[in-house]
Amino acid sequence: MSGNEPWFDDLIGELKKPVTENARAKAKIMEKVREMPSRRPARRGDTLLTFLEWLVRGRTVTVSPLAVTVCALIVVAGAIAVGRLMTRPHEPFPGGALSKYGTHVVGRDEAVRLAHATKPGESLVNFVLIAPGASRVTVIGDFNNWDAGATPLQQESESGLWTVIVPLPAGRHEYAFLVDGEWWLPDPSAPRAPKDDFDRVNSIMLIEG
Amino acid sequence: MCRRPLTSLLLCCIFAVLGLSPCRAQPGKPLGDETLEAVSLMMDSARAESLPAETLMQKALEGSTKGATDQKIREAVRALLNRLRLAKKALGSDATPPELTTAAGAIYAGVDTSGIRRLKEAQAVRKTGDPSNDQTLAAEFVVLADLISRNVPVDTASQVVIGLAEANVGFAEIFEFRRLVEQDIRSGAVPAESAYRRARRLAPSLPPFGREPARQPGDSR
Repeated sequence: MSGNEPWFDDLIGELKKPVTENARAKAKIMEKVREMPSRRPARRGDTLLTFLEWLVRGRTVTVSPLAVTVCALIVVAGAIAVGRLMTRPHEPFPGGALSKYGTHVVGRDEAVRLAHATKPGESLVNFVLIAPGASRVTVIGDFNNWDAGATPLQQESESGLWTVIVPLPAGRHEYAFLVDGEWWLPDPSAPRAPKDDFDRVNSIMLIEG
Repeated sequence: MCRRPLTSLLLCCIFAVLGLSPCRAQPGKPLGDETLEAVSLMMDSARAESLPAETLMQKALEGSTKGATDQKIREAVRALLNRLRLAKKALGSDATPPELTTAAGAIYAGVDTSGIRRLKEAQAVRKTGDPSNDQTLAAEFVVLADLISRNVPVDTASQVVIGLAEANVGFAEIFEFRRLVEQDIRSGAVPAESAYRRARRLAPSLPPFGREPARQPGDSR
């Protein structure tokens, strides 16, 4: 004998007896199984649902303290880098680029190169505005009697850089840009006049005599 | 805005980044007869007082282009004539037209006539040191008005610009100074502090920021 309790040996004996298969019952069960609806093919909604279930299913993650520290340091360094990037001095017209991206009085060499006609006592002024997406830009000021259509700027390629060269006499000139016939805009690269009597801000151009 | 919403949005974003506030233009209209007559009379007065009369007509045309009412235009032209008178009184009869118009702009920005007179005195100091120097005060007035429009307090802006004039800072340098201050302000600097710090590099005689000389009794600077 096995040395077990007698009731235990009886139980094992019963379990070891061969099972007599009831063929009728088996056929009935198989019939019911066949009648059950077959599994429908996976649809897009099912995939999304599965993904959402996977997303919200709780898990236990094991992370070492070192890994947590490294991750925290990366996050802090990233935040500092973004902060510095956002607060660094903004230079819209860095150094020598001013003459290209800002309104300026054309120098003698450039004037010769442009061969632009001027009267004695006049200087050439290159009005520049960066306005990508604009379809029309004009400069309006006391030098063209504030005529909105008198001095259109030309777009240089598709860069959004609009320019026009205008001969102006020495002195103080007040002006602004009109973008798309709708937006009144002071020159970003020029000194501002105080907000005028008509609640708009103009720019000032001072040309030495 | 409705026609090209995306373009307008893009432009607004760019202007916002540059610290500008674009205003919507209104359709201009020709000046009315009454306004034309009033402006002509004021121009006659200006000529008689040796003031730059053409500036008045330009102001009227500007108002017209900006869609202002005739009454608003007449008021603006009258106010400009008064500012030109104040400027001439402070600067004297030898003031040039650009000096008068720029000083009128500074007055409009909030500088009082004693501030204008102090700049005139600084110019005299400059000429004493260098008799060949014929630089006008127009650049100083333009920069002064610009600083005030960028939230530099009137007192500080006046102090700084007077310091620059006394230090004989040239035309190009003073405009570069303005550009650098504007850049600082756009980067988040305190306007008054930036103006002072930048000015002291060009005019070391200016006292450090926060230790400006106390106002004298009766000094309305």
